[in-house]
Amino acid sequence: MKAAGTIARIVLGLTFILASYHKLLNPAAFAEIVYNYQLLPDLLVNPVALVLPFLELTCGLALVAGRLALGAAAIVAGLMAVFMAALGYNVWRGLDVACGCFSTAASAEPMSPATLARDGAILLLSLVVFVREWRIRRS
Amino acid sequence: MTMSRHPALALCGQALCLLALAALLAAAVNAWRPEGLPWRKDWTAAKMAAFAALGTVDVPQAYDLWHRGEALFVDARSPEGFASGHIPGAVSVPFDPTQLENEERLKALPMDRTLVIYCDGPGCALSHELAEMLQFLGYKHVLALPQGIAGWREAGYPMESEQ
Repeated sequence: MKAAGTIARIVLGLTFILASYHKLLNPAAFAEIVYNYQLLPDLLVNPVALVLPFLELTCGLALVAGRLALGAAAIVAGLMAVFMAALGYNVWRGLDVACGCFSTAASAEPMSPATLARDGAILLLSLVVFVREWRIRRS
Repeated sequence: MTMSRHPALALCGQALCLLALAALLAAAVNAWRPEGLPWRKDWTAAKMAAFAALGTVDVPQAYDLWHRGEALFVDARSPEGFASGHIPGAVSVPFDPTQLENEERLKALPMDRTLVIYCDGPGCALSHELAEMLQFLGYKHVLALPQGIAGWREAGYPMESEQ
C-alpha cells in the first residue's frame, strides 16, 4: 500500500513535468492558447502563460522527489479543477480552441468530452496523492 | 519545517514556496531568453492591429470579436436577407452602390467602433464595396468578413432571425 502511494505520487509528478515541457519551450504559442481560451483579461494572459508552466514543472519535480509534496499535491489538484472548469466551459459554449494541455500545437489537441474525462482522472489521482500526503503529515 | 506543524499550515507554506519558486524561475528564464515575452501585452489591441493591416477577418476571428462584443456587425444584404437570418446584434444596412442617398444612412454608423461588414458569402461583393465606401467616408476601423453569413452559419455560430 505504501509503495502504491509512492508510485501514484511519482506518476502524478511525471505527468506534470511532461505537461510543462512544450509550454516551457514555446511561451509565445502557449500565451496565444491562453488568450484564445477567452477567460482572462488581456493583462493577465502573459503572466499566466509565463508562470503556469514553471508552476507545473516545480510541482511535478516536488512530487517526484517527495519534497514539499503536500503543497505540490494541493496546487496540482487546484490547477486540475481550474483547467477542467475552463475546458468544460469552452466545450459547453462550443468554442473550438486548442487544449494546450500537453502540447502547444494548435491542431494537436482538439478539446472534447474525452479531454475532460482524462483531466478528471488526473484530478482524481491528485486528490488521492493529496489525501495520502495529508495523512502522512498528521500521523 | 517540523512534522509537528498542523498539515494545513504546512500545506500553505509549501504551496507559497512552490508558487514563489515558479514565479522566480519564470522571471529569470524569461529575462534570459532572447525571445522573452513582455509581461504586459494588450492582446486585443495587437489582434485589432493585425486585422486592420489585412482589412479582413475570417469566421473564427469574427466570432472572437462578436463573442467579446468588440465589434458592431453590419449586414450589407437586402432587408429580406437580413430578416431571414443574420448574426445576432448585427445592424441592417442594405447597400446599393448605385444609390448615393445611402450615404446618410451609412454615416449613422458609429465611428469609434470596429465594424465587421458581411453579406452572403465569398461570391458576394457587397461587403467589400460597403467596407470601401465606409473607409472613403472616413471610417478607420472597418473589416470585411469575406466568408459572409454562409461561412458563419456553416461554422454553427449563433443566428438570429426576424421570423
